[in-house]
Amino acid sequence: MEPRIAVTGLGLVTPIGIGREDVWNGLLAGRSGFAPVESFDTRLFSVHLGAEVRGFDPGPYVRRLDPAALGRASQMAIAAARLALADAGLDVDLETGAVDPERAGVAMGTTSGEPREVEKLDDRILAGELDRVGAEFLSLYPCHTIAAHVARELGFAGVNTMIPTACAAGNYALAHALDVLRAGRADLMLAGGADSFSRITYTGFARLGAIAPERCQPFDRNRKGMIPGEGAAVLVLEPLERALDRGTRIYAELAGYGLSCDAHHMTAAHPEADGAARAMERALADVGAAPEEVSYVSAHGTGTPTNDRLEILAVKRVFGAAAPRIPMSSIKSMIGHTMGAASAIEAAVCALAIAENRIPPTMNLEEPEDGLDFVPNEARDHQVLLAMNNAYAFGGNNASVILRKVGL
Amino acid sequence: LSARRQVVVTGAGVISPLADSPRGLHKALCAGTSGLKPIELFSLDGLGLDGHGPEEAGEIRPFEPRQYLGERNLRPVDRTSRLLLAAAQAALDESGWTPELRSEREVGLVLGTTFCSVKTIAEFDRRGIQLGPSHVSPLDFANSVINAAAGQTAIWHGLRGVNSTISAGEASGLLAIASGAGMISSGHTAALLAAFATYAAGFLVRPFGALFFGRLGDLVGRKYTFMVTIVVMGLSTVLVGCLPTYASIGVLAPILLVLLRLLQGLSASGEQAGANSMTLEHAPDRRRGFFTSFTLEGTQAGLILANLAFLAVAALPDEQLFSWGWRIPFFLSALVVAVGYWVRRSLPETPEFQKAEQAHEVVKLPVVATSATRLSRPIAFSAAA
Repeated sequence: MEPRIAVTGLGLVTPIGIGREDVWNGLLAGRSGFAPVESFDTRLFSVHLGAEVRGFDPGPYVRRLDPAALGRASQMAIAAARLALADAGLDVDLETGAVDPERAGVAMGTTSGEPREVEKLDDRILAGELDRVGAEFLSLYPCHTIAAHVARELGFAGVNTMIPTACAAGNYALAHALDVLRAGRADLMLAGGADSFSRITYTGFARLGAIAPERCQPFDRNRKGMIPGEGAAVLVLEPLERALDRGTRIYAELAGYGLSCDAHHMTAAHPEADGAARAMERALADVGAAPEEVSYVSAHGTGTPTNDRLEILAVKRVFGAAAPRIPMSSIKSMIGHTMGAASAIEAAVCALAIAENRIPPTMNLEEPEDGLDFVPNEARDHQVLLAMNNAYAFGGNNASVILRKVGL
Repeated sequence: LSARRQVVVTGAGVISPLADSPRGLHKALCAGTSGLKPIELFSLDGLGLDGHGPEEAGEIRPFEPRQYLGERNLRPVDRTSRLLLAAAQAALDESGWTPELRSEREVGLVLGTTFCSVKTIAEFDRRGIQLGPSHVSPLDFANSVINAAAGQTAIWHGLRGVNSTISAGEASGLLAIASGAGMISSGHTAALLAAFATYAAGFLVRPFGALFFGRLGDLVGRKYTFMVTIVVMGLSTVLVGCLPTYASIGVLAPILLVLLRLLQGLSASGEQAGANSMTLEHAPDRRRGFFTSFTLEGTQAGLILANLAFLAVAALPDEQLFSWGWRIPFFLSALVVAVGYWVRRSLPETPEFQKAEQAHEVVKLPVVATSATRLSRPIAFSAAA
């Protein structure tokens, strides 16, 4: 029998707050994380809003390493990891040796890694200062350094994997960590995602016409696009039996996942949402659950006209007659699209929805699309036994992860 | 079922500074050849090296993507993706995963990369700064994510399974291979492999069916055996249509499916053996070859009928097709079987068998009495049928 895997700690760094409690309260209250972009000059753009993590200070979290020698995504990842360990009651154990460092691993997802390091390099090149580029570029930029930095900061010497599968990367990292734990290759995994606000990403989405000018309205008939954001999330995963033994709080079980590829287009989804539906079906099969058993769907829900239309199509195909009864919301209406961190943050929200039996709303919803329950504008009390977290990415990478209430 | 699957390597593709095939690379490495060449892909000017830095690197040169990828439009894919496309093409070719096979079954991809397309990313950024955000190319943006090459390769080669990218610096490639193997052994491609095994099982038993029913025909008569095979074949086919799903009876469902496929395979090859002897022994002496050829025509016509039946239900929306539509062709086979049974009931026993029976010449172990060269033919034939 493969071990069941529990979620025992949550660490969140988001545009609407830092730490589990702050973020969760913000989501239930419909707090907005959007403001004019501060990281770079947007005067040449026709859109100006972003979801940045304002006033983030890595100091309290980055204790062993030098924060100045880390990229911003790594800093946020370490903060989320520290917060998650503390939330799981394991931060003390690190010093007492209760966690075997060689059996503790890290799996992180990202879209762009540390794009700001490339941006700094480009600024040097454009200024004719190529000779002033230092060797530190090689330790700062490659995206696997995010997971490596988290491991170095914490002394985790086990499995260490970075999965850059764009906007589905958080879910991919969770899936990878689940496999590692199921196979018994680690006793403890930190899994999640991180991305920093980036000029490159913003330029690209602006060029695609995908950024909303005023607000993000997933599943609204008048939606105009997504709003790029940044952040990090880390979930503490460990075998359920170990978690029960040490008597810690268990948010939920990480029950299974499904992955698929559209093999259709780099930036546009499959016209019949084939890959998205197959990922959901795979995840349900992995868990051994019927579609009607799902009690909450955390949508990818970027707020772009195409994504939301196709996601609705896929959900209707998979859930059939049960689709209208299953609440589905998108927290991107509040925290924006945090890229590689997004599905990790949303997985943490699924764990909280299960633990608290509360569902955060889809905000800014005035004229909802037909046929599904998008939990408009107000959080809802709802018993959540099985939550499905969906994420879709550039490259046609689709990933659905399912969390389940423990005791089922 | 929890036992982990063994994973084997069935194909490899290499695009490297030394050679563009695994064999070529191996040969060059064993010969101690160096792949280092003077750097040509970019200029070293302005780096402030003043002749103290490296001037050689492992560039892949010349690299002509068309040589591997033909005439399709290469504009959307950058150099990193083209290298991967070419290597993937060679690996798929060698392993026999044809485009048709890839459209039927999901093939996944796990890519290991450190930088992916850092050149594309940086150029995209600089263009945006120099010319303004409205002058960058969406195509370049698509290639600026770190999983771009994996996504492009999935599109180019039609890989619809798991698609992942792993970054671990210089260990990326190894970790990607380990991760891919893990995906297969942990069963995240279970449906694919299980379906393959089920389909194959029915074929593997066919030689035994031909032997068993062939002998039965010699012992109890052609006609009786011919009636048994059509009933067994018909029943096992209709029962496949009645099988409960994995969701309702769990692992028993695939087990029953394999058992029914075995029965179906055994009786189908028995049918072929019976049809051959029935036709052969009823045919006029001088036209035996001609008449017997119709038994194979019948098999092929049956295949066409079966495919037409599946084509018809495949037009159903996926939801209906997968919930109940797939059962229809299996039920329809009952019609064919009923007609076949009715026709065969009125058939007399073959004159040859009647003569042999009257002369008490029915051989106990006909297989042993047949020479090895003659034996090999029906096996090869049955296996191909």
